[in-house]
This record gives sequence, structure tokens and C-alpha cells, in this order.
Amino acid sequence: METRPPILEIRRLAKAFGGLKVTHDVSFAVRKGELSAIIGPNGAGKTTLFNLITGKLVPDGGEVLYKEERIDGLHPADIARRGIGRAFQITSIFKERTALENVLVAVLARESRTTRMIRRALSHGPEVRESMELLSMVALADRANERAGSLPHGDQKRLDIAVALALNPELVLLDEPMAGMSPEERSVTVDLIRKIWKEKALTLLFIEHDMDVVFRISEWIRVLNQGVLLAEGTPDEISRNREVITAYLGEEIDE
Amino acid sequence: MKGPSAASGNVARGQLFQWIAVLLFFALVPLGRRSFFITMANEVLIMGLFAMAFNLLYGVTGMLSFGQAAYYGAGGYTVGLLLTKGVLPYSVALPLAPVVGAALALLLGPLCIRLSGVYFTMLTLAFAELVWGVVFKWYGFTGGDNGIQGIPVPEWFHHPLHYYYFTLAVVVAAVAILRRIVESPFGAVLQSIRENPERTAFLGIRVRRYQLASMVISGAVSGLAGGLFAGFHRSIGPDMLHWTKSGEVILMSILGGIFSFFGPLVGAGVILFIEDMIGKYTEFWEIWIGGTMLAIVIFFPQGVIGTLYQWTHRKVSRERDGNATAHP
Repeated sequence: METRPPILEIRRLAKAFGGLKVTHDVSFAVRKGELSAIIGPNGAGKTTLFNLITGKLVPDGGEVLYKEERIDGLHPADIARRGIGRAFQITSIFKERTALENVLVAVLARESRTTRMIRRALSHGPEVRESMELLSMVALADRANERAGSLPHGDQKRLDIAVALALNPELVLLDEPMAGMSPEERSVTVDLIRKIWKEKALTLLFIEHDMDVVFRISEWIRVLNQGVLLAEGTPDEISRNREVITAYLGEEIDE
Repeated sequence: MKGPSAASGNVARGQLFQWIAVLLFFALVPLGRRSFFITMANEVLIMGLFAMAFNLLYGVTGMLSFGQAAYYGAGGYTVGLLLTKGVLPYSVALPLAPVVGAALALLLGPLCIRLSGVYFTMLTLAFAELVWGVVFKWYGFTGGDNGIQGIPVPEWFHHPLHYYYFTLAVVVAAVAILRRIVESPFGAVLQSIRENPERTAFLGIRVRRYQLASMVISGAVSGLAGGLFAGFHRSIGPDMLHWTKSGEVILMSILGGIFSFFGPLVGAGVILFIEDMIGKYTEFWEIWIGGTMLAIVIFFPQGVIGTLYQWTHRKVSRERDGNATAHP
């Protein structure tokens, strides 16, 4: 595992809002192909970290390297084009459009077809077919023509993931992909995420609060606490880490 | 599994129906043989086109412009000035109207899209007022508040019916182009920006470029509508660029329904009908506009066409769901 080259490297990353250091001297490397979780209590700076990687926020200090090139400070659109896809904690979809149109616009964007003004978007056969495949991958094919905003919460979350995948990313960041889902939906989504990760040979980083899920599917876990990277390691190592247990895991692991 | 082709088939059929209804209505107006109605229908077509151009920004891209009159006026003055100064014939001046509208949008657009939401709206209003001020004060060139009278349009167009059919042809062509744009991949991006600009950026799209493009297209079509108006009325004034004109298309679009493609056209029809018909009997026709607006907001929250569509659509989907459970 250690021999895989890093696809993403975070070096001494720092971000403060006013006086509050939300990301404080964080460094780590994500190896190509890994399926890893970022955990930490609320306010640990997990989403901020994703925002710094994807260009929504510009770091105060440090570097973000993607495939050995610096991407910190780039426009989110440019970072997305380089192959980093993202799904959001608060589901971020195009609510008044159909599920199919949500994915289709992402596929068309990836192929730089969005300056076309003559042919209908829905008449782009190969792109529509690919969008349908993506929808069936997240078990939404039979809801393709429904308005995205009227889908149940769990479906919207999976649609968000499908939109991120439509960009054919190599690195995917999922921010609490299972938040607010029922236990049944959770287990379906966990299997789905693992399947997609395998089939598409992705590097997948996810933030999650459900420790069962985290320890079941992650190859690697990073623990953030108050803006600092407290520890990283295999699920086994993390579950035995004294510091992590006292800071965070203690009460949650033996509910 | 409902395939995407089935959906696009339904959409295409619904569209065909809308087109037939609109074309039939406007084709039948001259049968009344009353020049009053022909003139009114001509105005409806021109203002309807202007309102649809505005709605490309508002209903489609989610940018509320309160300054579209600047581009409408730019088109009108392009035709008016070129013809009265004898520079170019109408056949060249009219096609130049959208070019000038687009150029003005290309100039002002980058300044307006720096801000979003209500601040964008205020900027569009401010720049449009600036353009209006220039036209209003520059007597030597624009005729100031006197405007331009007796625009020498070819004789053939003086017949109301001739100009009416000409307008109908131009408007139908322009609206067909607008419709294609809305449904194209480019239009899909515009609608994504309306729904969620942040997510659109995370698809690798430079949101501002598309917002500017939307402003330029809207400016071009607004300019075309202004050019048509100059040829129709043969006299124009700075009121073409006044903020009340920008307000009119907002009103028309909301009244007709900003999320339905032909909504703004229907809104233009309703407002101009009230203005012209009720204006004949009372000078208080504005009360009727106010009353209609109130009724629309209460009873047709999605606009006339939008709410009607919702009703029929809900009925259809209920039937479909019923069928689905009957034959799984």
C-alpha cells in the first residue's frame, strides 16, 4: 500500500476564519486508488479541508498538489477539469431539472460540449446514454425523468454522487454521503460506493460520522480534531490509538 | 424503465402544440379586418419578443435585469438613426439592430455580472439609466426628448398588414432560435446556473462567461425587437430606453410565467390588451393592470401559462401513476 504513488498531497495547509484556525498545519498524502475516510468531531475542519482542496476556499498557507502540480488558489472550475469530483454535504443538485438533465449537463461539461447552441441537449445520444448508465449505477435509472427536487432525500444524495462521477474524475471527495439516510438506504449506499470505487478504479475520500461504515469500508482513516491532523492509519491502528480514543472515538465506539 | 427518448418525445409533442396554438392565433388576427387589432397584435409580437429576450436572462439564467430597455432602445435608435440620416436602407439597418444590442451588452455586461442577486439588478438599472440619459440629452445626435419622427421605412411596410406579417415572420424565426438555445447544451448550462451557480462551477464551468453570453444573446434579441418597433411605429423617443420599459417586460414575464417558454409572450398580450382596450374607456387603466397583477399573484403563482401547465401536468402525472400501479 505504501508503494502506491500519491495522487494528492497536502503540505502544511492552513486556513483561519478571523482568529479561528480551522485548518492548522495539516499535511498528508493520498495514495492513488485508496478508499479512505476523514473523521472528526463537528467543527474539526473536515468540510473546510474539502473546500480548500476543491478551490472553494483559498488557503492562507501551505500547498495542495494534485498529480505533483499545485492546485491551491486555482478556480474551482479548473480544479474540477483536472479530475477532482465532489459531492456535497448539503445536497447540491439542480432541483428544477430532471435527474437525467442533472447528470447530462455534467457529462456535456466534461466533454466541452456546452458551447453548442443548435442541437438539443437531449438529442446528444452518446451523452444521454452515458448519463443513463451513471444513473443506473446509483440506482436511479427509473427516476431519470423526474424533477430532481421532488426525489426523496436519499435519492438526491446519490444523484449528487452521480453528477460528481459524470466528470470522470480520478479523485472523488464525498462529504457525508450518507447523512440523513435511513439504515436501509445507508447499507445500499455503502455497497454502491464501494462498487463504484472498484469499477471505476477511483481514489475516493469521504467524510462520514457513521463509525460502523467508516471502519467497515475504509482502507485508511485520517482523524481531524480542531483543525489538526490528529492521526492517520489503518482502521485497526486508529481504533487502538489512545489519542484518538480520548479525543473522539471513546464514547462513540462502545455506544 | 421509462427511457429518455419517451420523455423527449412528450416534450416535442407538447412543444408542437404550443407552436401551433401561437401561430394559429397570430395568423387569425387579420381575419378580424380591424386595423386596431392588427396594430395591437403587432405590438404584442414585438413586446413579446422583447419579454422573451429578457426572460432568457431572468427565467432561464436566473439573472434579474432591470435594464433591458437599454438594448431595446439601442436597436430602435440604430434603425431610426441609420434611416433618417440616409446612411443605410431598412434591409441593412434592421439586421444591425441586434448587432448593436449585442455590442452594448458586451460592453455593459462585464460590469454588471461582477455582482449577483439584487446588486446585479441595481447595476443593470444604473447602466441603463446612463444610456437613457445620453440619448435624452444628446439633442444634436439623437434628437433628445423629441426623439426621431418620420423614419423612412419602405412604402410597402406602411400597410399595417404587410408590416404585421413581416413582424410575425421575424418574431417566429427569433423565437425558434431562442427555443433551440434554451434546449441546447449551452441552454442546459444556463439553467444549471439559475438553479445552482456554485455546483455549476464545480462541473468545470466558468459561470461568468456563460452569464455574459446570456446577456449578449438577450441584448441582441432585445435590439432586434427595438428595431422592429422603430420600423413599425416610424417614430421613436427616449421612452424606449426608460426604466419603465425595463419594468414592463419584467411585469409581462412574471404575469405570463417565467418558467414557461411562451409565458412572456402571453404576458405581453395580457398587458397590452388591458392598456389598449381598457385605455380606450378610462384613463385609469393602470388600476386594471394592478388588479390583474394581484389576481395573477394570488391565483396563478407560477404565472398564467406556468400555473395552467402545472394543473394539466399534475393531472397527467396522476393518471400515469394510476396506470403504473394498475399495470406494474
